[in-house]
Amino acid sequence: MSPDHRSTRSLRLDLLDQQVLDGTERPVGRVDEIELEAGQDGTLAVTGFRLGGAALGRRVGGAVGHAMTGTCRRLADDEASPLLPIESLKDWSPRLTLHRALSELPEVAGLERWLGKHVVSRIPGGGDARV
Amino acid sequence: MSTSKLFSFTLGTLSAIGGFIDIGDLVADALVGARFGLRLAWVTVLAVVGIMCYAEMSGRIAAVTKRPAFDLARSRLGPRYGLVALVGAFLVTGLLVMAELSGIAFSFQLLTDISYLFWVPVAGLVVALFLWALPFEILERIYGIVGLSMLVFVVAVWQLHPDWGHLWHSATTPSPTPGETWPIYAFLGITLVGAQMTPYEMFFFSSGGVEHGWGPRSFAEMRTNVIVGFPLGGLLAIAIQAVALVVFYPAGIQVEHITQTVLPVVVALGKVGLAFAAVGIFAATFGATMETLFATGYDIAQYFGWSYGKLQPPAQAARFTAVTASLLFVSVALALTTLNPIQVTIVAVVFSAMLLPLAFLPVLLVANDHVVMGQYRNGKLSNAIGVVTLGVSCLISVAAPVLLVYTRGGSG
Amino acid sequence: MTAALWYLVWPPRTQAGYTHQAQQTIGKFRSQVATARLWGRELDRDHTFLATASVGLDEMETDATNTLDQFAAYQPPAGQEPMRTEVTTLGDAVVTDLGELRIAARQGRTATVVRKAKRLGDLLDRIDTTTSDVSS
Repeated sequence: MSPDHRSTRSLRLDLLDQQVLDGTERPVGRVDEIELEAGQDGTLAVTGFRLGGAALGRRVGGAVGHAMTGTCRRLADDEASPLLPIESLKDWSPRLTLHRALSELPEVAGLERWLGKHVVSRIPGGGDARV
Repeated sequence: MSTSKLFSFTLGTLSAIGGFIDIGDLVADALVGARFGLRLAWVTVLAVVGIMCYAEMSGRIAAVTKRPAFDLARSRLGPRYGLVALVGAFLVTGLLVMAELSGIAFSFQLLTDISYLFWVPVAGLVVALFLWALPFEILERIYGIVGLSMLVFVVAVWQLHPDWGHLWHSATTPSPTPGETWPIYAFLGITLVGAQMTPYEMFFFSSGGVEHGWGPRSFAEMRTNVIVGFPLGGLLAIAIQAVALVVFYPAGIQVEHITQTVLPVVVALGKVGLAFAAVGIFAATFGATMETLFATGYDIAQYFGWSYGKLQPPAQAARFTAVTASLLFVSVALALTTLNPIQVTIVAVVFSAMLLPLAFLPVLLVANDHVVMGQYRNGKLSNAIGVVTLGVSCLISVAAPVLLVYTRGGSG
Repeated sequence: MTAALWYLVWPPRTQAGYTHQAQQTIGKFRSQVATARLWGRELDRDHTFLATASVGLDEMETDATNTLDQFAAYQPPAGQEPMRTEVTTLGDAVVTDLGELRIAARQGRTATVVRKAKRLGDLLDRIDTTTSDVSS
């Protein structure tokens, strides 16, 4: 997306399923699910979003989605696809960017962390898995 | 022109040699040339135009949005259709990795007479090492340059001293050869399209562009890549068809092996030609293995939003690395089951042709999106060619399964 | 879908279908023998390494064996047993000749390969004769 100065944004086109970068501009995942809260006046506000296979599985639905959610739940130590408050987002354009780096968000991208630490960085030349 | 600019053109040449000329082409072009001469060469020409249009679009999208083409599949189509697109891309491109890997093994077998099955794990290992250890640019340069030895096929056309009038007549007669039927002509035309307009070329080209850090200023470079690379691939494809026509058609020889693809070069240029051809096939299939492997890995990573590519150390793109490595491993295993790679290639190519609309539609939609592309969105020419190509690919999508069954895979 | 797949592999049941299969089989034999002869010729002109020609010859022998086995497995419709015999006898000759070529190549006997490949011309004539027999 090219930088723009729109004041209204589309849930569908600007938030949901869009790529999310962390504070260091590193891709961490996509917005797999959004949380909405009904306000006193009947309006809906976006309060947070989730990244991760468990959330994605719920939206994909069907047998495939079910399998996805199940696998991610089993692999996760704590809660799979935890809720991130909407305030975690620093920028909307050109890309969705978080304030914090992945290293400060231990609950996100667990698989990346695990594979990086236990598998890839162990191979010579794999580099540092420091997240 | 600085050397770095000169070398950046090798992305285009790599896309052409590795993406356009891969094992699908090596098999399909020789097969078609032996049976129909140059009567399907027009299909190649149109396929080149179509893929150039879509490669330019996806390159432009990458330069403007800093995001590669498949990234948009999920962003625009949503998680369900995006997943359908991913599964389709995986089935077609993922299957090709095994065939391309076997192609590398065949190139070794050509000069050593040691079964390709022995070479498959060796090829897998070499691919893994190169991809792990070497930066993208070096890989591109090596295969861009070494791949040029495929030009031996063009030289071979000359050396065979063909009846040029006969070649021209063949090229300008879009109908089946005597004794062949229209359904088979159509089916092989579709096979050629599947072999030459491969979606992974688009995705690889755009992902490569993102890694190169293309921006709106890179349009000239990107377009030169497209204009040099793909027509070069098309020329090579037609050369393979032409030499097969000259050597095989009169003798009634049907092509089913890579050794037969190379035989006309042997006739024309002897051992030297053979050596160049073997090197060229190695480069083309190695490049294609790399492209199909990475394209599949990119597709998966981009669907889920993972970090990917070679800009950061592998440990910081751990999921992508793990998936890509697993795919390579599975492809080696699959090849070792002695599943015939040539047959796998034909199947993959036909299915690829059937899935083309799924690959083209998101790219066309996004390239036209005013919000995303701003002033850089499609002009009339891009849209004209893009829509026609999309329309034709929809027709192919419908006709392919019917013809596949009716002609019993081209043999009936 | 199943019907389509079944159609793809359906063995020939009619007389016309069987004749068509016979013609296809003979066509394949012709292609295989012609390819082998070409490898022999190129070897004679020193245009190819023996290793490469070996691979080519081995492939042609394997193909011929598979072609023959596949055709022999079909049940001939009534009255077409003579056709089957003619084609399978031809096939046996093709497989034998190509086998000899492959063996000589693997033994490194270039001159033998060239000599035997030249004689494939006779086999090709025989194939042409069978072709016209089957078509009539």
